[in-house]
Amino acid sequence: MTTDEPISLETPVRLMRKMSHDMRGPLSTLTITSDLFMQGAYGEVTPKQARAVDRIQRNSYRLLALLEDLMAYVKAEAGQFALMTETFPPNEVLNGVQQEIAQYVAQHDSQRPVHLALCEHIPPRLTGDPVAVRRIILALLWNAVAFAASGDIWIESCWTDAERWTVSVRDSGPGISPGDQPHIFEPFWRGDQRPQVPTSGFGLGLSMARALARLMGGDVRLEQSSPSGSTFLAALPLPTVSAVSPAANGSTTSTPPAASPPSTPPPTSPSPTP
Amino acid sequence: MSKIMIVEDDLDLCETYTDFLEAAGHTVKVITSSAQAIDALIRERNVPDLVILDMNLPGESGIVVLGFIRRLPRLHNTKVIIVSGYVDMANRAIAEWGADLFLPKPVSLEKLRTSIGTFTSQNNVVMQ
Repeated sequence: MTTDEPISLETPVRLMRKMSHDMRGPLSTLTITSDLFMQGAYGEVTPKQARAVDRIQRNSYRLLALLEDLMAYVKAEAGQFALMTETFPPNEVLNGVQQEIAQYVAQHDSQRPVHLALCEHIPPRLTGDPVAVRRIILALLWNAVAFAASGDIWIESCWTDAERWTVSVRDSGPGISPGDQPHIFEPFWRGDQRPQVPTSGFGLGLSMARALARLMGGDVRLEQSSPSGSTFLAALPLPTVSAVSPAANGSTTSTPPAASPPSTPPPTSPSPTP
Repeated sequence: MSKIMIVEDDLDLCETYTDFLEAAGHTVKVITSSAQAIDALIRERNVPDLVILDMNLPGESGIVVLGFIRRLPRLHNTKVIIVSGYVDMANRAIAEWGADLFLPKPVSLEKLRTSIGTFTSQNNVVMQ
């Protein structure tokens, strides 16, 4: 590339796609080899060896999470993230993420309940990209797990007349300082506060979550933060099944990427996605 | 036990697959390019029961190997699992190119074990 050539967002997306592909082979070797090792394929495993291999496994998955968040973030910012359109049950998505996080927390800190308050009035099925929705909510949850060292975590769901699903994630951590708050959606931002768990991410989860939400026409924002905890909120416009054309009901289609990147500033935060 | 051909240019990953498959009692042949794979499929009398195929290979794509397998009558019963880092190719790999299964990298040992078990009638591979 010459210095006169304009830099477009398409190039980073292509580079990311290539990098994503090339990193997945070595990650396969790391994860399968460590699984084989733990299952005794190379001989008896001592407790110390098991802890060492566990570190290899956990950090392999950290690298994969970084790769996937970065890929999703870059594609969303470039308007090249192809959102799927299908109908899905929102409460099942919430139950799934709650169980995933609760399981992780239980393994590492049994004193941190993860509460889920489902909305009574939400339609049984919404239309949108359930995988992207799940990624957004999980990013908020991992952020709560990583940066609130202890205390409960609450997930609350709400449905508005404007066909907007809001999901808030509240933690009981020390809060985010006023000086850090304007920066938490910047990619790779690390404020004074350090993650409290060893499997924390790289500061990309909140950026990715906001970029995906904005691509859907929604948003992710910090609702409030105080010394007794922080609340992040995802507001996602998701039509009810009856509000979309019959052809979309129960079907899966892919929405072509937007022609131009969103005009919003680059998002992000100190969010891990182990 | 089954005859399994690995077509993959990442040599560390080939060795990893081989450790797993041989421990499970399968016979494994490793090939690192599409041209070599097609050559082996033409020459060898014993056709593989299963091919674990990467897409991004030196020279021709792994899709060329898959197309060859699907066209050759004596490979009619050969199953093909594509294992690729191009994770958004799953639908095309099966619907357009004729793979029996698509596994995105990084694939876990458990997923690999289950998938191979499905195609080799060996659902419970036991490690030595």
